[in-house]
Amino acid sequence: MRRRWWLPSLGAALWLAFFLGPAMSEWRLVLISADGDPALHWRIGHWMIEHRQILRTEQFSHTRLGAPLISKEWLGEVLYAAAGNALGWQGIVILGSALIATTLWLLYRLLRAEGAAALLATGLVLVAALACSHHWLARPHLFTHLLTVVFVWQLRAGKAWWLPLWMVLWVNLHGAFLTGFVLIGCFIAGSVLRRDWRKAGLLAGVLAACGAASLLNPNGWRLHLHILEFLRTPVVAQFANEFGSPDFHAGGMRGFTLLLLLLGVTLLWVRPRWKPVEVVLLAVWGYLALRQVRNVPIFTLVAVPILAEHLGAWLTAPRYRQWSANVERLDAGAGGWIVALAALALIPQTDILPSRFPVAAVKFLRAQPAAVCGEMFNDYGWGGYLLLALPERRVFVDGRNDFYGGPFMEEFNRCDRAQPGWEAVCEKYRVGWTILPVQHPLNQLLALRPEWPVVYADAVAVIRARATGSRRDQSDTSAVSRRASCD
Amino acid sequence: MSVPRWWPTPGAWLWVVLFLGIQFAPRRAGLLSDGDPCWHWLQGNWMLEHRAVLRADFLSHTRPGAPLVCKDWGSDVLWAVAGNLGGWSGILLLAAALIATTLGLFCWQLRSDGIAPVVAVGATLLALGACAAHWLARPHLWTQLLIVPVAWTMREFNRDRLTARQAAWRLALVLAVWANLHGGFLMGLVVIALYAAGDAVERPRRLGPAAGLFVVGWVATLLNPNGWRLHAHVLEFLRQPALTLSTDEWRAPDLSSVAMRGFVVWLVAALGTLAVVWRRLRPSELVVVMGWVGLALLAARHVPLCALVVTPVLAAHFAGPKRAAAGGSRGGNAVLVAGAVAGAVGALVGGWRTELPARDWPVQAADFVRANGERLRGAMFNEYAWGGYLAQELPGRRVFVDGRNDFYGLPLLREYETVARALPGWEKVLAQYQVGWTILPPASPLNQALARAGWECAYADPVATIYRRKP
Repeated sequence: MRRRWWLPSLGAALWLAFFLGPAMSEWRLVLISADGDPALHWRIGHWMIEHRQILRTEQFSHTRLGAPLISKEWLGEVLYAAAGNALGWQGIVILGSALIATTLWLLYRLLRAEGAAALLATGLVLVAALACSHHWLARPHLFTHLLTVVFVWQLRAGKAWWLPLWMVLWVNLHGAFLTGFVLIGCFIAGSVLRRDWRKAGLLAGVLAACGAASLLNPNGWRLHLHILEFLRTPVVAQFANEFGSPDFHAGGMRGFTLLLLLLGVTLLWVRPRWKPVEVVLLAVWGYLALRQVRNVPIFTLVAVPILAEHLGAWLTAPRYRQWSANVERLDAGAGGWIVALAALALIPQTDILPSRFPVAAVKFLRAQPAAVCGEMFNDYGWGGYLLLALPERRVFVDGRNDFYGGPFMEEFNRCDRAQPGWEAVCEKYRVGWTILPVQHPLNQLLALRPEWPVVYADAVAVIRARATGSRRDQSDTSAVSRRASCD
Repeated sequence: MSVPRWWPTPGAWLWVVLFLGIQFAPRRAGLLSDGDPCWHWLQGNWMLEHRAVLRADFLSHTRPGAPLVCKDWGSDVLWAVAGNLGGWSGILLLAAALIATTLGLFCWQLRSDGIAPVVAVGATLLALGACAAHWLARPHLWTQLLIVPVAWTMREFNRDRLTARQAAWRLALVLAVWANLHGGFLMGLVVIALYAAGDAVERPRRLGPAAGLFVVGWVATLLNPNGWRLHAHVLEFLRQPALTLSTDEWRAPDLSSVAMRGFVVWLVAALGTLAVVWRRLRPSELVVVMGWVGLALLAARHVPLCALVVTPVLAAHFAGPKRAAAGGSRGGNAVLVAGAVAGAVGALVGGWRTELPARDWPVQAADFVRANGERLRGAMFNEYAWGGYLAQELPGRRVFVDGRNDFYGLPLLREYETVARALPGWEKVLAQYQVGWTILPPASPLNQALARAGWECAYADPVATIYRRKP
């Protein structure tokens, strides 16, 4: 069939589908509203653009103000901030969707380059999309997904000498660049098991070169130390769900379950002869995925090319070939990227979800800044949003648990769960007001204390401010009178 | 080096080490670390006293007299007998015997398959590591024990070493007993169903006999005091994820937790073995392996069952060429086991005691309630995990809730959550159930809410705080 320049190829159509799908559906709200980190990264990136320097000391929280800080994804944050500054939340959605689409498109190209038929490649990419989708959030880890495919492709194709260059990019984009080292390590182990010492030696050289390349970041070796220290501190990691085991009862795990079933069915029916490197990759990343749900997409991107290779060799039935040939005909387009660019105009305006974040409460605070005084105590998940939406105030805590560290997170936890001693923590950090979800345990407790009257309340958030001095016994909720006592 | 003919088998040695190890371990009270053994003992006692199966609640004031399906009646009675004879030490003795018998039987079946002693003991230790996460002195230990013969029977049937008739008799016997001991008997039917599914993949002609075994097993489980209502009750419970997922053991296992380290080691060993031997595995065996690993990843309480069912399947291929099982000596085994039991019972009679640790349970608070009963009027609101303990220690009082979440149901557990977390509406729930006093851990948010709401702190220690309404 003659190739037409204007018609999208199957790969381009997949890119478009995965770009427009998240960007135009309700998913775009999930991309930016599932947690407070997209706002956090935008704010930090914006600071770096504004000051034309890397952030090295804390600026956004009052609890650790001025503390030294390692920006482990500075380039990713600058890119997100550039997108956000240019187009607002819509820009963040576009960048996030583009990264998702490019990752899956690259995976499709990998499968096709390795000889998978268009039908099989498309089907497996759809399974991969489903398995990765639980972690589709507009945060720098999407760069890790993209670069994982790049590394897997280069390593499978035996063109590993380019990897140090990619590593320079990765180490500046996202803190999970260690994934690249684990991938190379798996291929070295596979070569050793095959007694292919020459290849193992070459890959060891690439590993060393990547190690050297990873030092090309603003923090040098301190970045590696910081990340290893974080991974060694489970008490810090427990605040983020993504560091826990996958919960197979959750809807987000259906894709991963499907992938595992597909692997099982392949074992059962195809009975493939695994190469040692495939066994190592599946075992290592399977284990890591079962330990921490954030590794599920990495496992998926590693496992799908292996599945494609064995399923492709097994699917030889005439009917399948016929179906595959029909799909190949669809792949007749030459590009269609103009269509993709045109699609950008279709992305609807997006804003952060007001039912998830205290949008109206922030409007109130901006309109009446005198309503509260002293320092803020905020919900953990709202920290990122609050430091973006209220740049003139400093938060108590946000999603950077690696920066805040174990002892501080223990203090936060005591206050957050209204455990005995919470008052001492509030005193220590001179907390003058709280902004918390309506059903937060601390809110329930403060409701019984007349010295913590409600300043603002809606269906999402309640703001309480401590009355000070002679006003402590009064239940007057007038913001003006409270401001007078603060002064 | 040859072994003397009278020398006991590895399984018998393992039994003795486990039985005595659990009985005399410094941390043995960990097996009593939730409140459930208490209410099992209480229910068993009621049945012993009344010589009838329990059919209505007598422990709570929130659902007094409500109809109840006692799904573990047989083991509740055994728990009560052990408890009445030896107190908590007696219950621990029974639990240790069940754990040791499970793994001793497990090791014995591996040896019967001709697996080398080193491999059999190694595989048993791996399974032990996975099982240890759910070692609690509760009737589910019967499920861990009885799944071993059911899986063994199905494996023998699958390998054509047993006829359908022989397998049916064995399964009927075990499942009829199981249905009267623990509600987990459905897992026995799952074992049969997975082997049947495997047969459907591998040799469809065998599907009929395998399905027949499932039917036989199902009919055998109807032989219980509640008949088909037991199945309906258990299935109704399983159909409510909000209810099942309210307890840790029904949630997916957290592989980064300390408790799951044994399972992680088992999983790595199982996947490693699978990578080596998997081309030798038959499709039906693969279905069983994948099915059980899937169930274990779905709910932590299936982890031990997965290890007990899957390990023999993999070990049989790992062991390489089979050798005839070493004979061992039945006499030697009997002497060894009898000696261990005599030693444990002797220690018990001689004063070796296990008690619930006062640092985990409101022991002194319960003493306070007994001594100051007149000051604590009205109904009790208690910590969920302490329900069984308080029901046992304060026989004149009824609890708000205890570990029987299948009996209490979702609406009451939501009310409990509202109060325990001091969510809006907690005062209304306490008023509805005429609660006059609470007994909770000091860190409970409700304590602080009660203090602010004008309740009086009647008692406090590092474990428990009691608040009462001001008269």
